[in-house]
Amino acid sequence: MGKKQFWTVSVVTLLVVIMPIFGKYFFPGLNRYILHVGTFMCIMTILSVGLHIFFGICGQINFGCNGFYACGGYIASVLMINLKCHYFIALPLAVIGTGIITVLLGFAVLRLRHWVLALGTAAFGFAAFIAFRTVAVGLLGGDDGLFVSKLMIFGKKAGPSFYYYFALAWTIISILGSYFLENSRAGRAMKSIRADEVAAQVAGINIDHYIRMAFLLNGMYAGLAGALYAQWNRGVSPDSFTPDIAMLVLVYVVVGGLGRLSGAVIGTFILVLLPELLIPLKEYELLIYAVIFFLVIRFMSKGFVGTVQDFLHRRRMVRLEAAGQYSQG
Amino acid sequence: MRGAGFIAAPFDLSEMNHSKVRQECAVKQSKKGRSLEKALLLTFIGFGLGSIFGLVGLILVITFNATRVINLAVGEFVMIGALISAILVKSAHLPLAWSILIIIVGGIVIGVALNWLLVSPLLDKNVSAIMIIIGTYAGALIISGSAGALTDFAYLGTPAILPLTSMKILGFPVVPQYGLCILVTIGVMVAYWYFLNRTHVGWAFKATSISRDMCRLLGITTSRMIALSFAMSAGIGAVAGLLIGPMSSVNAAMGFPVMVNGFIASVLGGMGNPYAAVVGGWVVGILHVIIAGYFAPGYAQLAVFLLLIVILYVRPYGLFGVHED
Amino acid sequence: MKRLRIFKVGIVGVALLLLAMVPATGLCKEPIKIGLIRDMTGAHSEAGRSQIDAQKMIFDEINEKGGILGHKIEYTVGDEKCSPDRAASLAKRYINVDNVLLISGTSCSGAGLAMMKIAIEAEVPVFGHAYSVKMHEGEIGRWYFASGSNNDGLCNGWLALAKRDGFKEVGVLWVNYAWGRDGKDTVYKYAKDYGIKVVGDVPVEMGAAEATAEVSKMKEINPPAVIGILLTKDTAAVARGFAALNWKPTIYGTSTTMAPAMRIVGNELMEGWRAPFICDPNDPQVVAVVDKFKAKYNETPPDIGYFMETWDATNVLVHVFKTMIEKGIPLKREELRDAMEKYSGGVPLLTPMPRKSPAWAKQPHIMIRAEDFLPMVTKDGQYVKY
Repeated sequence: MGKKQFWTVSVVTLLVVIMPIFGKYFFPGLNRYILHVGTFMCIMTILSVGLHIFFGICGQINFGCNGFYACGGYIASVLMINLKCHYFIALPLAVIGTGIITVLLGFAVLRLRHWVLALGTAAFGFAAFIAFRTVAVGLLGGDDGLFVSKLMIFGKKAGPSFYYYFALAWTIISILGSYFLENSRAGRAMKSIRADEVAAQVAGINIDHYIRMAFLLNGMYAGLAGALYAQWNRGVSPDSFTPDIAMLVLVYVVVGGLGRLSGAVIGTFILVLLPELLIPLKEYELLIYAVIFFLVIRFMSKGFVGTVQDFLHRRRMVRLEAAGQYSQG
Repeated sequence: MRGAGFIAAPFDLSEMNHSKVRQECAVKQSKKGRSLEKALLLTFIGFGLGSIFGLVGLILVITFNATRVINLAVGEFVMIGALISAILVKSAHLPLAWSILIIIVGGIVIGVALNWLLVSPLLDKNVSAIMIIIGTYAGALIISGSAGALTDFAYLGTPAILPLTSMKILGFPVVPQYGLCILVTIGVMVAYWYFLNRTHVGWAFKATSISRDMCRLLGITTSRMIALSFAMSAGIGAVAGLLIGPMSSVNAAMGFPVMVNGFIASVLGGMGNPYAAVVGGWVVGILHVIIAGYFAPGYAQLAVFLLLIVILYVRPYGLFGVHED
Repeated sequence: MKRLRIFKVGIVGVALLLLAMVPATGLCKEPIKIGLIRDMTGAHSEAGRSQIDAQKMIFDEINEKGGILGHKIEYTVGDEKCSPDRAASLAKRYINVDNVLLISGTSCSGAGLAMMKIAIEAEVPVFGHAYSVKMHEGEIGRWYFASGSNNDGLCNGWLALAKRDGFKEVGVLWVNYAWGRDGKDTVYKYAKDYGIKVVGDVPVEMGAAEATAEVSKMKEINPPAVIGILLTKDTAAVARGFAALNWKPTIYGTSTTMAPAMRIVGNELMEGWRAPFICDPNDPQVVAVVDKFKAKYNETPPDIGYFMETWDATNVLVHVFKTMIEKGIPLKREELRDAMEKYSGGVPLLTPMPRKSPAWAKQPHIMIRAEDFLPMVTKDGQYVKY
């Protein structure tokens, strides 16, 4: 990562961390709303980065992220309600539990590729959604879902700021995790699988091993997002984990810039913010959102990050050329 | 047209006596006869429902073969057909033949527009397939959003072309409207086969799906072939909408679940094979109805998904699929 | 010249100063801010739109007349799309950014619970329609005021009707969704009180196009009467199922889903369906209200049942505001909550009709009892009392 990029990332991170502290004093009502949206954005970013590992780095399609997201949320909730676990214990257990489910599902679907894998994971996503609605209603709460009690930290109730910084911390950890993965040996292996599976196999890479690893990471990231969601939302209900969400996360990753970590993060940021900004449009919100979405795909077909990078690159080239001509003349 | 035995007597509450009604039901055929009849009827309904899934799968495959892009807006083509049929026949009281024409034209316009505005330009720019697929999803949102804005997302009624009550033909229980769906689907399959294998345009079309670059070298205008694929896909989709209308609840948001079922049908059959997609649709339709009728009513969708995972484990490329690079 | 200019500026300045002091004098009264969160485009859009229509009509009318004793009503409408995340986000926005006094909503149970969590934390009263008795209990019940009957009332209504029609056995077709399951359990719970035995129940897939398979399962059980706890799409699918099987027991549905179902499958297939109604759509008073809406906005509310129910409840709410203002109680959230308990009585209602509303103080906060329902049946696409 270049010097310029490092500074940009650092400044953005600093802003994101400092902003709520100022906001609390200058615009408290708006600040609470921003914290709410910000926390949700962090949770979605963790989901996107998880999908990015499986899809962007390793090149395999997963249409069932909502299932893992749901597993994380429900496992955390059930542990807290029935086994009276404290949240800080329930969270890692939920991630591990989701990981186990991911591995089990992997045995069933990871033989598949392309559209069939898409369908297999989508089937899991749908099945998980329906199952959480209908199975074991006494334990899982059925359509109403489960209620989780307040989180108390050192005797004080955890407020919106806590949840924001907590989710933000986990988001930063997730992003760093993906960043280091990409540049590691495992990451390079996964990228080669994405580029050309047969060639990778010929080169001696154990495809199944790395695909399973990527799938597991995807599942665990989604489980983490679910566990964070469960306590922040003071509960889980199936409506939060509809198959639409799987599609939405895919859109965040692709429209942000497929194959790039920054793409997943920026895509999530923009596409979670956009509906909130469009709320004043009321009944035209969906339509305007769809039109903007359509235009972005049509004219920014490399995703936000890709297109911006292309634009900056071209500008730099033009400037260099002009300088060159000037010096020649 | 009323089926035999369906509220033949004039409506009179005072005669409602529950013990009398119970006896009448009991007097009917023996239990064994009843359960065979139930099985046949449900299977027929499964075929009918599955035909629509299969049709949607077929139109998905038509555009997939030409462009290697999964068009997520196929459900919206069906929705447009259903919506237009509801408005025309109910409100404008147009005769059926004219309605069919308008519906097909309407569908084709939308399909071709989607291609012209989004798919073809991106294909020419060599954009990755997944990006274009998400683009079609955006297109689907626009189509359904606009239709919803115009109709307020209200449920509209579509009258049945044929009755929805069951009747017996040669001793087999059938529901005529579903029978129509099955016949039309088979008709479309035959027509498509004829088009691909017995007409010049069809040969060129088939060639385009094998290799676009080769076709360009041979002088075939691939862009026109792609536009044709979208036109066919949307036209057939609109007709499917006309058929499915009376069998389901029509509103501007009905497209997405229809697309999902079509996608399942085509992948189950083996993505790329239009006829296999129809068979895949039949499998899903019958599975759904049989599970709902005998095992887990209300949980049929869940069971179908679990079964799909099992089937895909055994045949990873679909029932008729072949491993291709 | 210069002096004239200073003079002009001075006049404008004084005028602005006076204008700025007007709110302080109380001539411009503080508006009543209400946030409406309903499902406008999702699964329950028919309900949501009808509920918004009723509230819109009452609030617009009041504003045209200058507000409630001078206080105008500022209302914002939000579309929750049946998503808990959306509902929570909208609630957060309305409560923290728009500073609303009260939230009215939602249309879907998952979204409702998510929104209630936010409302309870901010101590904002909520006024809405939910099927579950849970909404009236404990912490939630303190801040939640119902605008319609819950499942307890509705199921008792069905059973009372079935008993009146002379049935001793019923079957239950229930949509595989929270409301359906809860309703099924409630029917089982109260059936004995009416001398009725539930001989079997069959879940129906939510939103499915095809319900013939499920109906055939019910046909095997063969009860003389069936209670259908179904949403709109499922009602239509079940009606088609009965047609396909050439079987028609006496069937009891819900007033709110039968009308749109009739629009979907046609009157013939829905002939003879009975339901406990909360208002008689043929009653001249009800027709007058609906016609007034049609005349003003040039459209019809999708569902008259939800429309009238919300209309009645909103009138009660307006009465509460009026009482608060007359008594000089400050228009703040905590005071509103207490006022809603104390002053909601004494308003004439059309649903059920005619009687005066009980105070919201009675727990659970319901306004409709089993004996208040009207028995109606569909005949040629119209509702007829029987």
